[in-house]
Formats: sequence, structure tokens, C-alpha cells
Amino acid sequence: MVISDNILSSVEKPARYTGNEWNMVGKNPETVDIRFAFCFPDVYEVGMSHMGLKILYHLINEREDTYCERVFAPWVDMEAKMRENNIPLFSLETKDPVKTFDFVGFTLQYEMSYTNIINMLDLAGIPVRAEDRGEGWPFVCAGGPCAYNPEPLAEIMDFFVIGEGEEIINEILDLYKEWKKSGCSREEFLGAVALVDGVYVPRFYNVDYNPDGTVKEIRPSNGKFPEKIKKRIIRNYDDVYFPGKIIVPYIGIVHDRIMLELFRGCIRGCRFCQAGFVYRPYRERNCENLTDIAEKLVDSTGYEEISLTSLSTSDYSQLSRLTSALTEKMGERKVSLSFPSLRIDSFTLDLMKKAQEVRKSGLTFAPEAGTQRLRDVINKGVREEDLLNSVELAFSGGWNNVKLYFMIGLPTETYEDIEDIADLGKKVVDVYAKVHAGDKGKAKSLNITISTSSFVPKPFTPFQWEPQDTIEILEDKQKHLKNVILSRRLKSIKYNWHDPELSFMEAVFSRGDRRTGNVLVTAWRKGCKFDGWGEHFKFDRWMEAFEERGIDPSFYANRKREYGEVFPWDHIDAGVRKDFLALENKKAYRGETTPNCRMRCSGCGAASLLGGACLGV
Amino acid sequence: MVFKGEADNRGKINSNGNTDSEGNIDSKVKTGKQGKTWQTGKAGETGNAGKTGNTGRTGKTGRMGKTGNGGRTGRIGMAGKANMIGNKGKTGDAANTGKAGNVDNPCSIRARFTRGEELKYISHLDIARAFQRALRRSRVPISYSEGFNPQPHVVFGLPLAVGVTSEAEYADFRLYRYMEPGDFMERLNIELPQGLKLCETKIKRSKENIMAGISFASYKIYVHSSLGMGIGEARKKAAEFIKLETIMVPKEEKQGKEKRGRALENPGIHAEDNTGKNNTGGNYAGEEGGKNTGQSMEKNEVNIKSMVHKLDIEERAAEGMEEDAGGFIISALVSAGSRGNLKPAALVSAINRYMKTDFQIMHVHRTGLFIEDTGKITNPLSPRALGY
Repeated sequence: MVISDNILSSVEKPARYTGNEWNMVGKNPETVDIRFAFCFPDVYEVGMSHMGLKILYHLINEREDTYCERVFAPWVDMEAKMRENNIPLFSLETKDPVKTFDFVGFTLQYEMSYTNIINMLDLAGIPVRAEDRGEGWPFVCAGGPCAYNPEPLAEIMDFFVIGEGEEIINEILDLYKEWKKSGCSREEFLGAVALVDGVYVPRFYNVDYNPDGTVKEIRPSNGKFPEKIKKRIIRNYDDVYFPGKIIVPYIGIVHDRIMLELFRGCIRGCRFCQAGFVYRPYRERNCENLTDIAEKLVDSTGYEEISLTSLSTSDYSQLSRLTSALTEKMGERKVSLSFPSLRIDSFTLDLMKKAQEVRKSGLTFAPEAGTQRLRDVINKGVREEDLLNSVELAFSGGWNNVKLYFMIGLPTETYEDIEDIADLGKKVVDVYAKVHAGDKGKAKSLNITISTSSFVPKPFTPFQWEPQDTIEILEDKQKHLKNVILSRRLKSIKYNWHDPELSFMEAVFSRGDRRTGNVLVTAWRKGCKFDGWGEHFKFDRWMEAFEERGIDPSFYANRKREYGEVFPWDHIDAGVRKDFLALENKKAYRGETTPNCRMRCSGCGAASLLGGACLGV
Repeated sequence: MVFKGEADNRGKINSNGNTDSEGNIDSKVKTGKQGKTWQTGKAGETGNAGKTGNTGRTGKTGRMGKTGNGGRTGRIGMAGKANMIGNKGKTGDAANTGKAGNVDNPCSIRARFTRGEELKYISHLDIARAFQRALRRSRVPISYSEGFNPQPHVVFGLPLAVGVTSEAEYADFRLYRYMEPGDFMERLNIELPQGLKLCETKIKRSKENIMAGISFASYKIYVHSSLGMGIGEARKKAAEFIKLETIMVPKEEKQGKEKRGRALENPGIHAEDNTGKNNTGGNYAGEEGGKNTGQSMEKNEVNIKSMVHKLDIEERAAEGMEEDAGGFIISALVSAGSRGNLKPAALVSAINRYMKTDFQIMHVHRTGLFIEDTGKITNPLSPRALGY
């Protein structure tokens, strides 16, 4: 398929649709057995920033028998042109229609991208519901963090991949190749793939509900299917595949740099954080291995920046060695390092210098809550002194731009906790004044940004039983914080907040059951898509969709659950046990913290995935 | 369940040929040749890039647009902002040697390059970034600015609008160590993506950088008319047009900064002072933003007469292209650069206005960029332009 100049020149950023970037994989589709469309349900710039896509794209393309191509959600202007001209959704590599592929795989990074998935399937001409896809249609599948509660998309996907894609994908492709040759039915493939560890085929699982609307039971329809689908992980993370080259886009993307993943999992256990639990256990990559990967990637991409990514970069046990090695090797080539996720208590002069070595970067700290009490409730574990010491170090080092991230609506939160966010901001301002005492010119250049997101309770966290604050309460809390900042005349502080209506929707679908899937389809029919983009979020339409489907969204978002309740995701086994999460929930209410995994194993259950203990404990 | 059939035989990837560029940097040193051409710039002049370094950290698109404000030409639109990816000095590339340049016989190379169909939808900023990354991959001894946000010393001629192809783009590269221009070209071409290719490279001795020098551009503008006009009539109209005393066109509006940007990183964030909302992510319209210098007769119109230097028209079939009734190619030489810039689209709309034609632009191809040398139109790679 050729997309005409006429169309391309009439849309913004046509390079979103032209492909051909440096390191793009080119293959002859005629010579492969399997064509895999890797779909990211958002625009190019967001999708191309996703590391999972880069890894899986190259991993799948290592196979001679498979061609993996990329598909992104066309922006609304392009979508209009495509519909007008009957152009079906196409891949960037060959521009072939997605419906001609064997697999259409979506990555689920964010609940508010679900309507985009439906829209992309529709644009591809593929029936949205799994039951409507008979023989000959591609298999539509999904993976990624949101797949840990797959139920809202259960009637759309043919199957889900639970856990780390690198570990499973080849088994699925091997099976598919056999199946394709065999001439067996679609149903038979699904029956076979359902037996692959870590694969969930929702059509083989039935859900029963209690009279009060909660889930009674989720059971496989046939005894041969596993009762629980256990997450797959890479056991030896040091040996796992990492591409030596990654695609370098032409247009600016959100994260336009090399992302070096130091480890998987997290030792911390912040009680609100889904990633912190579902990516367990903690597994590191060796320092030498990482240095090699970094060098290869700089050689093959020419990128000017390496970001040391992971859930909490400073927890990497060889961080100092790694940063020294990288600075030494990369400084000459003018490649800079950045640390996107440093903990407040780990900010050191040494790290600061290394980040500064080639380029000075902005600093973001995430205390998450305004008071020590609340930080203990969420098990954040950092103290006010840690923050103040870190910013003092930063200000002395010449920084004058600091971002502070908080969450509002956390369990047990009071208005005092909210006010203390402003107080903490004030203390940061005071530190700046102290550092630059006597320098009037400096005083004005301080920029502090306080951002609050609204707490969204997530599956597989100790807070999965918790209600979310209503939209009204969240708005009132935001207003309160704004007023406190204004009344204290903190002019150097800028306050950003998230749209509570969007957080509400996230809360519904993150813990939604199979019935909420109908709402997604209805909302999409009413024009909802790109919900994560403020300008396209249509809250009223969503509310109409809930009403039409007879679903009460607050049942999902604002309801406190009993410990004994069966959750829609209870048939998924993420390694961490439910009773451990319940224990953590109780500790939260007592204000008790849990030591990190390096200090002491708390027995969360994730070690069972390794078949032994993690962190050598 | 087991299917009938063979087991897989997984093999090695066969991706697009990306030649490994590792190896030693070519270091044929020719002393004496450059010698005194190089003057040391004021210390610190190259270092101010660091001030703008922070803006790029937010991860929004268009970070380069924000850091590129050092342009000295004061042109509006993209050109003034984005034309330089380094070199914030006052006297231009050559003179602004600074600290980094004083290693081992530095030199400056001027290159002509093409931009093909493959990359015609890439903005000027993105082309600059593609070069930056190719330079790093190629390991040529490119010199960088000082400071926290080091930028390679590359200066581009005139930005090319999105959708336009070209066979005559120019860039000046400053190297910290001498390298044969031919070797430089070969090495960089290996690492440049399809659609960008260096075709000619020469050592530049002049202090003038390419951006400051550009004064004229020539284009082939592929147009279509539905009036059933023959080539004879079209030629007549072109001849009449070029004889006009005044050619008035509407003054170009400055492009709204906020037009296409949006906050990518934090969708759905509201900001107290609104700056976080709809944050401008850089403008990728890629227009050449030019300042019209013609006399203003009416308030919103300018006279472009003095900016049209040559105009020719021929049938599209003349280029051996497919039969296309009403297809013409307009060849034009117009003013370009910081002292006056006429866009092909403005020229064509002026022709339509005065000659009552209905030319629709199908495609624009730039065939040349020229500098002015004592009143003469000169190729940027001519000995005079290079300072020989």
C-alpha cells in the first residue's frame, strides 16, 4: 500500500506514518511464515518511547521466520483522512493492512488507551470482539502491565500474555507455526496456546457474580486449562536478549534516548505502586554487561543521551561503578547520562557530578506525600531531611529548577497532609534562600513545580482493597492545596494537578471486571478515543456509556472492598500472594513500614517464580 | 496438543544493512594549509549553550527548537530559531574556534547534500538531528560546543520546508582534526539514512558561514493547471509576469507558536498558570519563515518584484515524466535567506493572481542555493565562496 503525498502533506507530522527510520528492520514479507503487528495504542511519539516495544520488536525479528512490524494509533487528523479514503490501519514497515497479519499484539501500558485499541481494530477492519473473529482473522493478543487485570478487555482479546514477553513470545510463535501448517481450526490454536504457561485465553474461563455485583468465581470451562495463570519471568536476567541496535526516529519523541534497563523489579514495596509488585522479583544486570550494551547502542544509534532506567535507579547495587565506567567511555563522545528515577535519599554529590559531566539536567523528586505519617502509610520510606539535604546539594550545584511529585487521595489522608505538601515546598524555598543568601539576583531564578496526581488503587498492590476519593473530594483537595500555596505567597512554586475525572476513569478500569468491557465499546462508539490526551477526553460521553450499559462506575472506583472479596483478577498469579498484600494493607493502617527486600525478605511470594530466593537471601 | 509439522529453525536476523563504523579515525594531517585562517574566538562564547540545556529535559517534542535560540539573523519562523545546532558565536563558524577547536589542526568542511523523497516529510530540525546522530555514529572528528549541552559545530544553509526535496542543501562542519573532505564524505554517507547524502565536500577557509551567506535559491515547482492552457500560452504568461513593475502578495502571517504543540509527557495535566497545558511541543510546520523586504504599498501586502530573478516554464512531459495534460514545471530563481526570502508557494500564488492562472503545486524541488559575491550569484562551493 502506498500512502499518497496528498494525504501525507495534509496531516501534521507526516513522519509519524512514513517509517524508514535508522535501524528499522526490513524483510521480505513473502519469505516469512509469520507476520506480527506490534501495536501501540497511542501516537508514534509515545509508542516509540516505549522500551518494551524496542526489545520485542528486535527480539521477534531475530527469527528468520517472522517479520515484526510496528503499528501506532494514527492521530485524529490522519484517522479522518484514512477513513475518508478507505485506507485501513497499516504497519510502518511495509504499509500492509494490519488485518493481513497473523498476530495483532497490543501492549497495555495505560488503562486510558483501551478505547484506542478498539478504534485501531475498527480502523484495521478487524472485528472488535473475539467471538466475531472466525477462521482467517488475525489472533489479537495483549500484554504489558495492564494485562495483570485483563478482564475489561476479555471479550476483545483472543489471548493475553501474562509476564515478561521475552520469555514467552517465541513459544507462542513456534506453536503458531506448527498450527498454521497443520490446518487445524482457530479454536484448536487457542486451546493449545491456553496451555502455554503465562497465556490466558479468556473465552475458556467463566465468571460468576454474587447478587451484590461482586465476583463469585472465575473458573476454567474445561479441566485441562489451569485454574491460575502464572506470570512468566526471565530467571536469569543477565543473559536475556537485549537488542544491539534500536530504531532511531526522525521526529522528536517523548523519550528520545537510549534507555538502559539496569534491573527488573523493585526492592521497595511502596504500597500504591503496581509496578513495584507485579515486576517482582528484583533481578539485576551486571555492570560490564550494561556497559557493553550501552557502547553498542551508542555505536549503532548515535544517540546523545543514555538514560539509566529502572523503577528506582539508585537501588542498583553497582551504580557507582556503572556510572563511572559510562562517564569515562561516553564523555569523549559527548553522550550524557540521565537518571530518571533517583530516590530522594540517594542523591549524592558523586551522582550529581556524573549527570553533570556532559549535560546538566533538571531534577525531579517524588516525596509522594506531605507528612512522615502518610509516607510511612504508603511505605515510601524517605524522610523530610532526605529531601532537604538533596535539594540543598542540588541548589549548591547550580540547579534552580526542581520538580516535586505528590499524590493526593491516599488512604488515611487528611487535609493536614495536604497542607504539609505546601509546607514542604516552603522548606525547599527556604533551603534555596539559605544556599544563595546574599545573592539577590539568584533569589528570583528559583522554579519549583509541585505536581499532584490522584491516587488510583491498582490490582496486586496492598491498596487494591481501597476506595478512591470521589471526584468532588479530589477537586476540593486540589483547591485546598492551591489556596494554601497562594495564601503563603510562595511565588516560586508552580502547582500542577491531574484531571480527577481522568483518574476516576483509570480507577474504574484498573479494577474493572469483564462487564466493564461493554462500556469501553459503547464509549468508543460515542467518540471516545485518545482519552489520555486532555483535549480528547470526553467525560460526559463516558458517563452516558456507563448509564446505557447499566454499570455504576463508583462501584469500581469508590468502593471499599472486604479482605475476603474475590477480585476479577484473582485467577492471575503475579507471584506476590494476596495474603501478603492484605498484611501490607493492615500494616499501612497501623503506619508500620516494611523493610526493603535487600534489608530483609518479607516473604511476598515472588521468589517462587525464581524457584529459589531472590537477592541471594 | 501437538500439531503436525516441523519444528522451527530459527536463524539470524537480516535487517537493513547498517555498516559497522568502528575503526580508527582517519588522521591524515596536512599542516600549513589552514594555518592562519583560524582565529581564536572569545573565550566562553561557545559555552552559553548550557543555559538553554534545561529546557530539553521535559521530554517534550521539539526540544531542539527551544535550545536553538542563538540564531543571530533575526529571521522569523524556523530559520532564525533552528538553523544552528551549535555555534552560538557572533562571528560565525570559522572564527569562533573557542577552546575545543584548538586541537590538532582543526578544519572546516563545506558539503552539498541532497534530500530525497524518503525524508521529505522531515522538518529542518529533524534533519539537523539526523546529522547529529550520523556524526556520532561515524566517529568523524566533529568539534562540539562547550558547556553542559554540547552541540556539534554544524551550520546549515537554508532550512527546507516539509515536503520539499532538494539536490543542493549545504552544511558547514567544523572538525577538531583535519580530515580529507572525500574521506569525510565517505564516512558520513555510510551513516546517513536513505534520503540524505553528501555529494560534494570541500575545505572551507572563509570565515563566512553558509547560513549567513545564502542569498538566492532556485526551485523546480511542479504545478498543475486545469485551464487547458498550452505551453506557448504558459510561457507567454511567465514572460509577462517577470516584466511586471510591482508584484504584490499578502504579507505572511507569523506562524502561531502554539499551533501544533501539546504536552506529550503528562497528558491530562492542568497547570496553575496554564503553561503546562498545551505546552508547545515545537512547531513542525517546517516553513522557511522569511522576511519580505519588498516595499509595502498597502498595509498587509508587500512587493516581491525585486525577489524574483528568473522565471521559466516548461511542460512536465519535458522531463520524461508521465503524460500529464496541464502539468508544468516552473523553474525559478528567487531571493532566499535572511535578507529576504520568497517561498515557492508565495511565488505561485502571485503568478496565479496576476496571470489569472490556476496553478496548483504538486511538488517542489530545490535545485540550488547561492551566495552573493560582489553582486554576482555564486555557488557556495566555488573557490571564492570557500575563501581560496
